[in-house]
Amino acid sequence: MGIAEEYTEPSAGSRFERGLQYLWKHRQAYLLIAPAAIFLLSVVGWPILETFRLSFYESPADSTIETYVGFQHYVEIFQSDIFYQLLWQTGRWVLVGVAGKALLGLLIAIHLKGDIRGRKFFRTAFLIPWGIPYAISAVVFRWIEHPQYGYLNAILIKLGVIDQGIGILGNPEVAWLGVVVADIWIGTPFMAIIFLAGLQSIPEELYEAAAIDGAEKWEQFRYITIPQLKSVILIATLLSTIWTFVSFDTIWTMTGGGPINTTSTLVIWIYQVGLQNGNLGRGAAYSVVGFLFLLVFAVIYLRIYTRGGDEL
Amino acid sequence: MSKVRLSDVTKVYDDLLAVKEIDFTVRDGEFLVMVGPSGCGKSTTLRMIAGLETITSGEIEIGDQIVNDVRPQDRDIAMVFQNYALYPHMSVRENMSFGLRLSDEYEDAEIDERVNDAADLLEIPELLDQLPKQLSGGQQQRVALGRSIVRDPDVFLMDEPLSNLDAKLRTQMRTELQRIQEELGVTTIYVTHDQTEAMTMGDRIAILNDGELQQIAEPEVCYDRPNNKFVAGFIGSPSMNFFEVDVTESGDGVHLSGNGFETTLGVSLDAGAYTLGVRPEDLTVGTDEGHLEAAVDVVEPMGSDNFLYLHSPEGDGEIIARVDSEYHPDPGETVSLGFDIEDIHFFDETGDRVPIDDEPEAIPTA
Repeated sequence: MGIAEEYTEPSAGSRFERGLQYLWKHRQAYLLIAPAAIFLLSVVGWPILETFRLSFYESPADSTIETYVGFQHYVEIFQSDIFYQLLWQTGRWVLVGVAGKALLGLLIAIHLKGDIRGRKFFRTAFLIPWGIPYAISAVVFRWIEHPQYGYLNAILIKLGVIDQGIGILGNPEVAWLGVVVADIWIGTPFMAIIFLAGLQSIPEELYEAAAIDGAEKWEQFRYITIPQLKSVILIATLLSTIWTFVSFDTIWTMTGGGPINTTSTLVIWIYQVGLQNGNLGRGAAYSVVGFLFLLVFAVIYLRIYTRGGDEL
Repeated sequence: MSKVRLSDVTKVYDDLLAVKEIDFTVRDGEFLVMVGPSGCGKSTTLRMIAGLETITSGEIEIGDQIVNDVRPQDRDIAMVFQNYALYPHMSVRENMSFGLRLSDEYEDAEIDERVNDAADLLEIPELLDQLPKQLSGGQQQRVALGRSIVRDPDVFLMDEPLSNLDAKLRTQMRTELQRIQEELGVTTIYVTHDQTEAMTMGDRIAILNDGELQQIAEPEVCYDRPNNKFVAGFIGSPSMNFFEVDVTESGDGVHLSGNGFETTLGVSLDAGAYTLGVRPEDLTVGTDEGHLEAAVDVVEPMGSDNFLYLHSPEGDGEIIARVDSEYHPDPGETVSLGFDIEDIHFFDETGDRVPIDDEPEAIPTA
C-alpha cells in the first residue's frame, strides 16, 4: 500500500460515517486512553451531571426521597434578594482579590528580578505563604485582626489612629476587607512567581535597545514590559479569577460567611444551603449557577491556552 | 556626527580586568572596526561607549562632551545588536519610529517621512507593516539598522550585527552596510570577531586582545606592519607562519638558525632570539634552494589557489603556504621554502615587532 493511499480522504459518507471511520482507524489510540478517560469521567463528569439532575429535585439530606420540582429552585434563587447580594459580594471578592494579587505580585516580581541583595532568599521567602495550608493562614490572619490580641489593632492604637481595638471581622461594613487581605496574602506568591518567570523571559537587550532609543524607566515598563508580559498577565489573572471564585477555606475559617452573610460568596452559600442546611436540591441549583459563571472564564482560558497566547 | 575619544578607559568586573587602559580616537565620520577574539573586551568597550556599562576609570568623550556619567538615553547614539533586539510586539514601522515617538521633538509627519526614507534606503518599504517574527534574519537585520538610521544619531554602534546571518547574506550586507555608512557619513564603531569583516569594512581597525589595544591602523597597515605577534597572527587568513629562530650577526647580514633554519639574510638585526613571521602567500615553494626545507603533508585545493600544509623535519608546528593552483606537489615530497626579506617580520621575545632595515616605525596606537 502506497503512502498516497493512506492519506486519501474517504470518498463518500456522511459526517457521522466519516467520524466512525476516523474512530475505527485510530481505535488503538482511543483504547489506550480509555482507562484514564473513564476514570476522569467518573470522578469529574458524573458528579457534574448528577448535580445538574439534583438541581431539579427537592432532596433533603436526611431522607432518601427525592421529589421532582422542575425549575422551582432556579426560580426561587433568581427571585431571592440573597442571590443578588451574593453575586455582588462574590464579584467584589474576586475583583478586589485578583486585582490585589496581580498588582502586588507584579510589584514583587519586578523587585525580585532586580539586582537586590539576598535575592535568592527573598525568592524563597515570598513563596512561603503559598506553601502554607490556606486554613492555617486564615487562622493566623484571624488572630492578626483580633480586636484584643491582634497586632494590627495594637499597631493602630500605638500610632494613635484608633483609641481601642476594632473587631474587623465582626463588623459587617469591613469584614470582607479583612478576609480579602488574607486571601491576597495567600494568593500573591503564585502571581509573583509567574510574573517573575515572564519577566525573566524578556530579553535584556530589549531594555538596552529601548534605553538607547531614549526610553526612560517607566517608558520601558509601559512599552516593553507590559506588552511582553501581556499573555502571562492574562493567563495568571484568569487562573487566579477561577481559583478566587471557588475559594472556600479562607472565608470559611475566618468568618464562616458572617457577619450577617456579608463575607459570604456563592461557594460559601452552596455549602451552607446544601450541606449545612441539608437542602441538597437547592444547593445543587446554586452550584449549577456558579458552574455557568465559571464556565465563561474557563472557556476564555482554554481558548487562550490552546492558542498558545500566540495572537496576544 | 562626532568624534569619539577613549582615554585610558578601564573596566573591572569584580576581580576580572575586562578592558585595560584603552586609548584611541574615532574620527568624525569614520568607520572603525574593533576586532579581536572572544573575551578580548571589544563588546565591553562598545557597551561602555553606549553607556550600557559603567566605566571603572578613564574617560569617554562623544563630540566634545565627556559622557562617563551620561545615561544611554542622553548620549545621542544608536546601536545595532547582535540579535537585533527588535521589539517583538511592534510592527516594523513602530520599531523604527519608537525612539522618535518617545521624543516630543518630532511631528507625526516628520516621523513618517524619516521612517519611509530609511525604509527606502534599506529597500524594505514593503515590510513596514509586518511584525519582526514574520521577517527573515536578513530583513530583521535591516529593520534593526533602520531603527538606528531614523534617529540620525551622532554615532552608530554595531555589536556583531552580521554574525547571525548566513555566509552569502553576510557578504552582501557587508557591502550594503558600507554603502549606507558612506551615504550617511555617521561615525560608526563596529565590533566583530571576524577579521575578514574587519579588513574589508573598516576605514581603520582596532585590534584588541586580553582587554588591551594591540594596534589601531588602516587594514593594510595592520596587515603589512603588524605591531606585534598577536596582530600578525590574527589578521590574515590563513594565519602567518611563525618560526622561533636564533639570530647571530654574520658579515653583511644575520645568520638564522633553529627550527629547520640554517640560512643567512641580508638584514641588520641585533643578535638574539626572535620569532620570524612569514605569511602563507609570501612563501615561495619550489625545488630551488630556499631558506628552509619542508615536507608536504596535505594539499588543499581552494580553486583559485592551493593551500599546502607542510612541516619542517627539524622544526615544530605546521607551516602553511599559499601557492598557485597549478602547483600540486605530492604529499610526502620535500620542497624548499623561500621568501623575500621585504615580506618577513621579526618579533622579539615579548612579541613586539622589531623593525628591520629602514622600514617606518610602527604607528603609535593613540
